[in-house]
Amino acid sequence: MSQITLSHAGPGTFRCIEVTGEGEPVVRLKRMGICSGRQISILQAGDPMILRVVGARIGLSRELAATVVVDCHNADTDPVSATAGVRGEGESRD
Amino acid sequence: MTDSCHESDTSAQPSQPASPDGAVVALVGNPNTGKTTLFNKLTGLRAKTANFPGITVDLRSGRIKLRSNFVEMIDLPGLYSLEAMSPEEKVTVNALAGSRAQTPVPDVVVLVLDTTNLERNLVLASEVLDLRLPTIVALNQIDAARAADIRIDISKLSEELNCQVVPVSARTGEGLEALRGVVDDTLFGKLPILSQNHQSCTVGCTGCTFAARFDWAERVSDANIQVPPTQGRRTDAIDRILTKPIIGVAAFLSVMLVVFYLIFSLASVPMDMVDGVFGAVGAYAEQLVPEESVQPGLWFGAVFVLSMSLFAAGYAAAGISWSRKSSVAAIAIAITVSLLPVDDFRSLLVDGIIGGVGGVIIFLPQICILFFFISLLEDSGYMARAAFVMERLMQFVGLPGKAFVPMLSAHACAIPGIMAARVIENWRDRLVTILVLPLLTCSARLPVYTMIAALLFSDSPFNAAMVFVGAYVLGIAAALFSAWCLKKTILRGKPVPLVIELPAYRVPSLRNALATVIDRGTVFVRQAGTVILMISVILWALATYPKLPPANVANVISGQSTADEAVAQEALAYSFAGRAGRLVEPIFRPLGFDWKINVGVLTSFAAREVVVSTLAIVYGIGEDSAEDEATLVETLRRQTRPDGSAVFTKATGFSLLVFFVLAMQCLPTQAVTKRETGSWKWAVFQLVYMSAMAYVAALVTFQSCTALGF
Repeated sequence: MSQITLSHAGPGTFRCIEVTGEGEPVVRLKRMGICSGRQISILQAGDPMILRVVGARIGLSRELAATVVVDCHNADTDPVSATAGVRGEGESRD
Repeated sequence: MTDSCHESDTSAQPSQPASPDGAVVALVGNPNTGKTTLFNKLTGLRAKTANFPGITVDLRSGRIKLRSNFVEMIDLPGLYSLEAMSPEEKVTVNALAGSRAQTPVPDVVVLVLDTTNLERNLVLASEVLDLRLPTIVALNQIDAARAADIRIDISKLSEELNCQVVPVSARTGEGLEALRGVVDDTLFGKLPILSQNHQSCTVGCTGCTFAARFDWAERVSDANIQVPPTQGRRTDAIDRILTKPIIGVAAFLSVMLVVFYLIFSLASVPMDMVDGVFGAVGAYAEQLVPEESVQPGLWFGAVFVLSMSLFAAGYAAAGISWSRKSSVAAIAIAITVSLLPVDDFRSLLVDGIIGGVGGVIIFLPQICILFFFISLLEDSGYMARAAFVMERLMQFVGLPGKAFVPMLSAHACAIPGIMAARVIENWRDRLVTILVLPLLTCSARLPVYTMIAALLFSDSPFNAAMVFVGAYVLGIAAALFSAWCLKKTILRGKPVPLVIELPAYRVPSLRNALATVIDRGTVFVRQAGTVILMISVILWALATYPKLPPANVANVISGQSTADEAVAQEALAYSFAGRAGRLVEPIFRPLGFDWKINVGVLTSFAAREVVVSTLAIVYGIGEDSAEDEATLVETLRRQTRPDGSAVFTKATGFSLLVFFVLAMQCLPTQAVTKRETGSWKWAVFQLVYMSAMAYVAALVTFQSCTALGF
């Protein structure tokens, strides 16, 4: 698989493909730079997680991270193995 | 920087004065760009909070000096995009669009961009430039950018954005003169207003408009600015510690503990001073008022003028205009006051007015110190981390992590807490937070807790301390529970998931902190002060009239050794307040309160601590003895009910404690709730739900304690 949601990704750098869903929370995501085409780095996984997007650190809840689809092709680290190190309780939520 | 160029052409007015008097310059920018620092630097500390009718958001505005004249500058709330989410952001968008009559379209927009993070800031810039208003870009934090070895081609950027770009540093003052000059030139027609024809997203953009703007921002940024890869390392290193789930929460609680320690320790000196000064002024005024009015005509005139000037000051402070209704009310009250007997006037002046004003000002030191530290923490970038680490805990009650700072502030006083709730973006969450804040133990409750703890457990310091702990815990639990209930019922809504910028750590600005203190302090004195003054005068009247007939006075004096105290006791019992206490006795009897406690409960609506002195009067030991805790507690213990049993049993004490923890007995807070929510509806709701909860909880406490035999 080359696509993954941000909530399932571990530390590393990804390119955002799309943000699914709509409404206020999604607009808030997008205006912070979490929208298609941007490069997103996960600095600290967890809930909430810390990202670096367009030069700024952004705190993001895992719930919203689940709406962000990223391409893990360019990832620095393998997201699947990195996920194992992250707390697993958010996994069931989708 | 000196302002040496301002004398150049004072005689020659600008060639095309575009209404120089009414010109408005608006500051717009992302949050955390140093926009407010720039505003404070440009306007000095002379800016004032303009409260526009119909907007619950404060806009700060001030006059800035250009080359030859002054223009008005408005600091519009920071925002990430013109797709506004919070009430504050909507104000900015409306102001830029001129869609509200109170805030006309600005003549010049100064767009503040953070040079250390230009790419992100360019997104808002692209939206603002699309508005085609005369716009100047201020590249702020140019000093920090230089220090971080960020290289920028200003003229190329200016060409690309097709507008004037001025590098400035609000912190050092660098470039401010140049900025004033460019604003002057733009306002008065010396510079052509450029047509902004940068890449826009109005046509041919399907899907995400933000993506197109970010693409544009990335291109412009890459072409004009070089950022070294080390940018932000220091902040990352600090964040690795402060944003960890457990360490982060512990760090936040330690920070707030230190802040609270400082608030209570630093505030005690000015609070004692305020107390002393108002006591002295009261004593002086008491002497100053003559025993009898020698010349009734002169007396009437003097008191009338005094009353009217007090009304003028009060109306000006509270922003009430002199309409026919308000003028008639002021004149009628001034005449009534002028006709009062001299003794009554003295009592009104000393107990009602001076005492009332003193009761407000005494909380000012705490509020100022609190806002000073909140401003420092916000400016440093730490507050965003606090919200981040508290997010998970606060989600349990359905509130965002940002609600935690107002909740902590409310432990000093609910009023600054409610004012601090503006950090919460979502309106529903903000409203829930405001509604539950007065449940948290504020410092006005402490004298009441002290009295009740002494009453219940004067023999056991440990148990007395546990009363305090219990009261604090009860307040917090009630606030969280109420928030949870409100989110489940009338203010139902999914919790807003967290998206928060964690800005780079910076050395906070003392000037900003000072500006915040002045601003918030003024709001407090104006809003709470005028309301408290009115309430304390009304309560004074209720506790004074009708007067005890002279025959009764003689009766009381003849049978007593402590004549003054006994007269005061009888007079209060005879007054409206005393009668009201008897009237509501059937309602409060199941809570274990007798009519005297009811009088205390009723008078504590001005400020909770008033209950202590009221009980001192109503139990006949005189107001001055309220300071002497032992006397008061001894007297309270001796009180019996008609059937001979003691009034202040453990059950009554606990019931009274629970009631004071939960009841909404603070009309100044209600005034601020009304101000922040924009309607009396929520203030009334707050009063009703808290009173109901207090009543039921006190009822359960008293009945179960009685049943258990306390």
